[in-house]
Amino acid sequence: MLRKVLAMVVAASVFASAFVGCGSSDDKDSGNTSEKSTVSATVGPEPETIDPALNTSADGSIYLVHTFEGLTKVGSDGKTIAGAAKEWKISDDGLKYTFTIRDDAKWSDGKPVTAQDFEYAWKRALDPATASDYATQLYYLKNGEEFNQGKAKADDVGVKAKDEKTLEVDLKVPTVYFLDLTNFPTYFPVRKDIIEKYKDKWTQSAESYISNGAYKMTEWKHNAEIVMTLNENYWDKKDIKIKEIHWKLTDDHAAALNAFESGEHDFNDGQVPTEEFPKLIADGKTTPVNELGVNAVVLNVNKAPVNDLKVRKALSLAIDRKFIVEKVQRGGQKTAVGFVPYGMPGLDTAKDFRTEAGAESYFTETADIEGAKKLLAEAGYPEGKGLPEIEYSNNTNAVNNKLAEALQEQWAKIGVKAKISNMEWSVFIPYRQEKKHTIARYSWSGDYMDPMTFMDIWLTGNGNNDSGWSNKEYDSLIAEAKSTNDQAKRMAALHKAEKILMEELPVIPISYRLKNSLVNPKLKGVYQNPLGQVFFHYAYWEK
Amino acid sequence: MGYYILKRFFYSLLSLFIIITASFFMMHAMPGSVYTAEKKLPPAIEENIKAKYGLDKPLHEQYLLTLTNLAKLDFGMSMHNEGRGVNDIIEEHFPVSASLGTLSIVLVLLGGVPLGIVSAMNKGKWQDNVSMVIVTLGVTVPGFVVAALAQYFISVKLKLLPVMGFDTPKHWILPGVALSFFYMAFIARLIRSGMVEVLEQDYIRTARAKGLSKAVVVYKHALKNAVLPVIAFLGPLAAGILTGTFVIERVFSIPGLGRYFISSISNRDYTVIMGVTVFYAAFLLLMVFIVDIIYVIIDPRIKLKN
Repeated sequence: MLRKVLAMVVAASVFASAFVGCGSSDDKDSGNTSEKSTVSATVGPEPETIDPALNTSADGSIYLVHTFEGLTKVGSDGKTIAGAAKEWKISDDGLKYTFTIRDDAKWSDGKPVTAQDFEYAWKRALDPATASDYATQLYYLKNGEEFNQGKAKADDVGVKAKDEKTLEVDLKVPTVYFLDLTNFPTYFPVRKDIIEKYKDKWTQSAESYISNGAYKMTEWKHNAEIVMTLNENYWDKKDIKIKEIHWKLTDDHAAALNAFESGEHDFNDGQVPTEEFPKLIADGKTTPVNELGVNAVVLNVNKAPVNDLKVRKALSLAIDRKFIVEKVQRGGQKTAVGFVPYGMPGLDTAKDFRTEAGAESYFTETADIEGAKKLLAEAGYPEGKGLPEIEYSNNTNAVNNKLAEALQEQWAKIGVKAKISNMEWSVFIPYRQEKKHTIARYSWSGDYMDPMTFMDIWLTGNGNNDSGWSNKEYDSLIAEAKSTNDQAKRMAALHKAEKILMEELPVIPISYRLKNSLVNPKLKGVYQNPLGQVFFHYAYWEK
Repeated sequence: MGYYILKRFFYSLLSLFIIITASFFMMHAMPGSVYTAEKKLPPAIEENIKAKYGLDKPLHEQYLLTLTNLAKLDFGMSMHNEGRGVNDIIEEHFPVSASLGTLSIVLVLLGGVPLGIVSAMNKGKWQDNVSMVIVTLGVTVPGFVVAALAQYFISVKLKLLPVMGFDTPKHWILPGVALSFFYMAFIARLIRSGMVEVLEQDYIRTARAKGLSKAVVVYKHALKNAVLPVIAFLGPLAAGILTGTFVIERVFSIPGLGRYFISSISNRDYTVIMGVTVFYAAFLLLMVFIVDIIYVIIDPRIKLKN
């Protein structure tokens, strides 16, 4: 039944989108509209949660950066600037941060934001009883991990309100990107009195959803829309032009595109059927935003025949990445040259981790069939003779299926036979995590602006290391990078580690993620960052 | 009659119990869990989540707990949508699905019955051919295609009606039509074949011979018999319309209950799966129960044993 309905929905989207392509984009609002201060936007379906401690999704995070504000916030250029904290001091060893909360920081009900609110929020997110998926985001705090695992008390955690306005934070190890983390939702303050009064349901109504950011939630019609209006108690409200945001909740991409084309929606962060992108891009309707994410395949290094490094290398050489981004993903993505995507800050502030000195390009855009065949022959499988059929596991969706078929075809050119096995999402993920796969689709997106978010997952035994790969040198390089706040040392270690990862190939990167947003041409100043967040704080309507 | 109703009621309860038990064990047999995510959670965090939702208890204990709570009509909290009670979900979203469903059933009857009558009365003439073309289209073109076409031409091109939502009567038109088109056509065919058959019967000839007006013959004598299969079909129709809303609600982004039926399964949101399944099952059993009783009342030929 489920499969049938899903198939129908997919068919409907494909069918609908076949027509949508011919849509015209005549501007209806050609009049004097600069006074306009409302925006309707769609960034996803009904969110799982809008509780800062519990959210893990990109869309949830978009709602949260509008309603809440951390110690720091994201400026119009993407840089971390002062938020609820007006200033901070960092100890020389990089382990102690002392934040001063600004005097005019207020909650949407007018009460002042205090250091205690932050202490409560962080300990709540770490509390095992809260059962937050993203508690790991707070493992940087001293005893954060221990408290979350029941091995330490709440009082031991390295966050303490010295007085109403002073927050002292002790870290486990020096963390150069800690200030960037404080504008991440898990670090947002919440109100103890509210949560104790309303319990789990505090996020459900406008009365109980008290927040300290630029906007407050005024209505949540489940599965229909979330309405936010300007928080009149917000300390930095004077430059905010957009006074009301209607977040339209939908999971039907074809309908979302229709709504944008008909002018009902002003903004859409890529909630569009994939096959529409080439046309939309050609028509100049999209705003491309680089995302910190990589599409890849993960190989189980404990399973034959991919336990053989030569076979893994041959498989990688046989992939025509250019063909995949142009004919399969079709959204203007860049082909992968390493595991860490472009846009990740490195040592060189003029460049990024991917392009600075020390980085290498490990893959070419097109395939090297001869080289791949040669490696396969060296591995004892000339022209693929004697090589068993390899299973490629995939969670079914239109793009993933096409990717699977493209890979199957490309590998067939060197004599490798791949069998695609399609699974439902909730079946696929445990299958891969329990390492039952041989080759599986894999993707990873960054949680913070540092290459480490792409690197420490390949440590021996890490829960996201679905390859089963283990390399002592790699582990010690990552440990080295984690133990120092000397950026030159850290980045050198991370570049070395990436080289090992890309030579050993437990994971074969294919392309980097890219989001194509649709923005009404009159709506200016919408900032979208590589973590997938969208900010209307700096947006305005043009005449 | 009283005994018949009691017996039917008992069978309904038994069916419900079987549905609950089967759903419970089937959903726990599915691979994956409520915390399945691309990014694997550390084991300690998984343990925290299991403890929070009582998933760390043995399965039979969870089953007994589920039965007890269901008997108290307490469906619990959603495991996927934090902070939402399953009872709240049903209370908030079922009225939307129900109004869409009711609207569609009204459209089905208002459109389907006259179409069938016109067809049967003019058998073989152009009116019959035209309505049979409509009917064939209705039966063969699925609702979501009608929905997509309507959305594109009426909303995007002509900008006459909104693309999505369910706020005002303007929003109701497209989804209502998309949902009812198939059943309208189906009912028209049922009525047509029933009428054609009935109109050739002797008692109709007698009625005509008595000099009764055409209207009386059609509405009083013929339609009463021809409408019986339609009533028998009302139970499955209610079921079909309700399950049909799953797709239409998604295409038009209507905040109905139907989508929870699907999303809760892919999210492995156990409490919502149980709550929504039990609620739908009870609702459908009730519909079938009511239709059975109406049928007995309308058609005296059905003899009740005992």
